[in-house]
Amino acid sequence: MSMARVMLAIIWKDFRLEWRTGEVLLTPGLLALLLMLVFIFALPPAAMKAEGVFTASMWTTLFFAGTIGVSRGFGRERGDGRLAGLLLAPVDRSAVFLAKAVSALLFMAMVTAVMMPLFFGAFGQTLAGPLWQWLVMTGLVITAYSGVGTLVAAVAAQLRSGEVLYPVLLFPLLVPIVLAAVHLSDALLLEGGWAGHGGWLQMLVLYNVLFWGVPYLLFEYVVEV
Amino acid sequence: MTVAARPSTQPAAERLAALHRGLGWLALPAVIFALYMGLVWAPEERTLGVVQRIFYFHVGSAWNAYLAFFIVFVFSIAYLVRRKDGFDAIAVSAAEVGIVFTVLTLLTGTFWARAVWNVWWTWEPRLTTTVILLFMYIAYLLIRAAAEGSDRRGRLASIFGIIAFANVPLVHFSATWWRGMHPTVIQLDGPAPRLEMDPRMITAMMVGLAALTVVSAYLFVHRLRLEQMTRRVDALKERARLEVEN
Repeated sequence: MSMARVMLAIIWKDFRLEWRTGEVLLTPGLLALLLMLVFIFALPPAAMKAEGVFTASMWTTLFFAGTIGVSRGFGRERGDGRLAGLLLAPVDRSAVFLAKAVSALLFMAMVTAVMMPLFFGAFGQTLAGPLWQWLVMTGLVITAYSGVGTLVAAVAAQLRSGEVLYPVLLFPLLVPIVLAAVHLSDALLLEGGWAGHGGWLQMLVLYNVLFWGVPYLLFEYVVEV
Repeated sequence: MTVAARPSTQPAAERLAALHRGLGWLALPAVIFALYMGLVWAPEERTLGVVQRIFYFHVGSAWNAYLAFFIVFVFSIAYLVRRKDGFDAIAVSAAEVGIVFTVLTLLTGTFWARAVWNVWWTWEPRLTTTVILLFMYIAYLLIRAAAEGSDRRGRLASIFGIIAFANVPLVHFSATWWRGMHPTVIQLDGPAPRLEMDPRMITAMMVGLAALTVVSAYLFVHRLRLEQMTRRVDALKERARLEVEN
């Protein structure tokens, strides 16, 4: 079976499960909405328009809400020997990682697609820079997030109380993309473009290469049965 | 896991014990000498005054923290490839020593910053990187604590030890672009990197660095022996359990 077909089969399985239970998209989506409300309630009205507050609240919300959904990719395989079952399939195990990471990316894309416009509306922000730059930046950030998030999820799924540990393991690794996301978003909102911030883009690309490439190479070791 | 009390492991353990003792006796005069060099012998810095002397121990701590995490990285890879239990024992020992020196780096840096920058903490790139480093290796230890079975523990911790170290340059660059004000002692703008310091200060710094490296080697060997003993006891208990069951 080709790699692409293996990946599609796993992604399809996950999405069918999701469609029937609704736990991955609904719960993080709801949490994201609630976090947005918490930010709006917690911030003084004047601060809502202050420089950087919008991007900080938006990305914090997405990163936190994302942990529930992205960790489910492997969390779903916990118990009842499900992970072992998946790994017993006579296919390249790296395809399992890629499938889970792509599922995570699709999930993040959906949550982001719903939450970002809501954030722009709720905070009364308008995008100054070109839309395509905003989309490329967002794409790079959530791709990086899905890669590292899936790797950590695969580790956490094999730990005692891994769900509890998951954010504690993930967030130290996330620092570069948190910084890149808020910096580039602010540049796009305040300066109308990312000219002069190429270093941050390169870093996002490098982070993507690292956290999709290394797990891809190491995945045989991550999920031994 | 190697079964404990096998005769062939004894000489290695005894050599390690001798190294442990030797490093301990070396560390004591080395630290006293480094204290003398840093606190008495080196000249007083013109603008920063006596506080600058923290630097002699700060640099050594930071160097040892990074060295320890580099060892974690190398032996994590070695463990994944070879699956020798000893490599994992080295990695965990280095990680704990690294955490101790990271905390020392942060503490000495904080005292210095309070006196010179008039703040206890600032989000300066190296400070940011160091604190994130601390969080990453605490996460490494959390993985070890939460994994069941020595094989799984070694494997998952090694994965994390590799990616955490690979992440360090990215954390550092992002923190640098974010904000920067750490004093840079090594100047890279000239034809060759050079140290902008009085030669006596450089000597005192190097002595401090060497002394702290001996201390860190001592702590590392101490921790490694402890780890090996723990594993031997675990193996003995396991064997006793099997014998009782049969």
